[in-house]
Amino acid sequence: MLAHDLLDIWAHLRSPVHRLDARVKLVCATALVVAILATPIARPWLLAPWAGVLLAIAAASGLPASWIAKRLAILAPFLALGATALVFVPPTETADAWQLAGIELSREAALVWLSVGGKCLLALLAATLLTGATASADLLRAAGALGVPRTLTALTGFAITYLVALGDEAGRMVTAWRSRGRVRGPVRNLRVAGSMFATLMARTVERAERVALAMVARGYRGRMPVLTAERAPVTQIAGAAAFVVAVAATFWLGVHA
Amino acid sequence: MSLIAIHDLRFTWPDGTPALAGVSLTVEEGRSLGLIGRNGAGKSTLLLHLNGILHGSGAVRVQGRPVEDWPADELRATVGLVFEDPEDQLFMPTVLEDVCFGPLNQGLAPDAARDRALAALASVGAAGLAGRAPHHLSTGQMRRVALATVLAMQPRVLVIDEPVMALDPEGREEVIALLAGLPQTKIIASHDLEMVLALCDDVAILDGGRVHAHGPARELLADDALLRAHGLRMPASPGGG
Repeated sequence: MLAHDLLDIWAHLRSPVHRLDARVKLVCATALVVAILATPIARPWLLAPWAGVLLAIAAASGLPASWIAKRLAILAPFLALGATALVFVPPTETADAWQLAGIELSREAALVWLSVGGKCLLALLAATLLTGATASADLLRAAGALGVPRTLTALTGFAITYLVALGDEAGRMVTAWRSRGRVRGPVRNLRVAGSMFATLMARTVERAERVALAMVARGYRGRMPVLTAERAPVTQIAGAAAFVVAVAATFWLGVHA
Repeated sequence: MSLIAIHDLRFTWPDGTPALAGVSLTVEEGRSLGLIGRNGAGKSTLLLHLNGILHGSGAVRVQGRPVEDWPADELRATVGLVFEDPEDQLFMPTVLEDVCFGPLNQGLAPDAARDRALAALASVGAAGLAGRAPHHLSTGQMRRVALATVLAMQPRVLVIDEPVMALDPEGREEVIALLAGLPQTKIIASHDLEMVLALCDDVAILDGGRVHAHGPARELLADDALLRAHGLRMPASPGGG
């Protein structure tokens, strides 16, 4: 078993969100992300309903808040960079000026930052909840069933499987490096890390060749075969349709209010 | 007519490294052949010729027919190849999809492929693993599932490269018992001579890309001088098995 198990660590939970069909979850998440991204940039408060929906889903999913927060933390440097840039955008007129702790900020620029930051955060939260509450294999199968090209889902599947294997191999190499006394000094460390990376890439190519041979040996002729999936329960399909309609209606009402 | 007949097979890798230098061998239906030899002797390369993945000069016949004349999918359904590293063999998102991969490529309908895959998993004692991701399995479980991926194609010949490598003693015993119970003709490449003795009727010693000896396993594996001459050592119980 591989040590680097970054995926599917919460997929075993049995929350109402986990129990939903992966295709239903994928459709609902896509509708939500489209609505989030299409929200007018000048009115960030229209993101509030989506934030509410996502927080409710997060609570229902049973996914640990700390795990979700760690996933969202990846945005922190970008949000901080944007916030810093605000200081350097002067207000265009008096009505556009906002005072914050004695600093004069452009209201328009602050709204853009709030809007773009909010959209990124909520879209990432939607993706985090989807991937946290769905096994990667189910998600790939769902994507395939919803029309994503098989080659793309197959390549993503390979990437998931072999990135995990690669991470494990990298971990073993680092352990071997440490066990022989880690060389001090950034330049030397960089050289060692560089050659380790090159070795890892060479092994990846070799593995890819072996996997390709294994596929050919079982009759692969350039087209990934798929097992037809069972139909999603009718109630879940109806629920997904209602959710999409509700998202569309909320979006329309918000934009046209 | 031999089920597999190899005559004067030669193969050189594209970088110029010679791998096979005139291999001639036969395997009869229902027999088990152990391919043994030091590292780099050409064992794995030879296995890749048996279901047409590599093509060298010379002749490889399966059921009397040259491998070049076989439709690729029929040949691969007849000669099932289990690779040395099960991580290379298991590439689909779930075990069930992986085991279905071969049958679906053979043109089976999804329901029939699923039934066959579940039967193959059951036959290797891995029925409970169908929904698991292959990279979450232990090495022993991976070995079983890798075997099931090939059994699901219902081959007449099982070609297996190092089936017990990296297994703990218990896992090793389980895989040996599993292989012993399979009725197919088997060709097993391995350094584990005790396993070869337990599973194989015949043995071929490969060295430098040539077959240096071919005969009953009990005789050849009891010949210490012969084994030592080719970088091998006698198994602990050559007479008994």
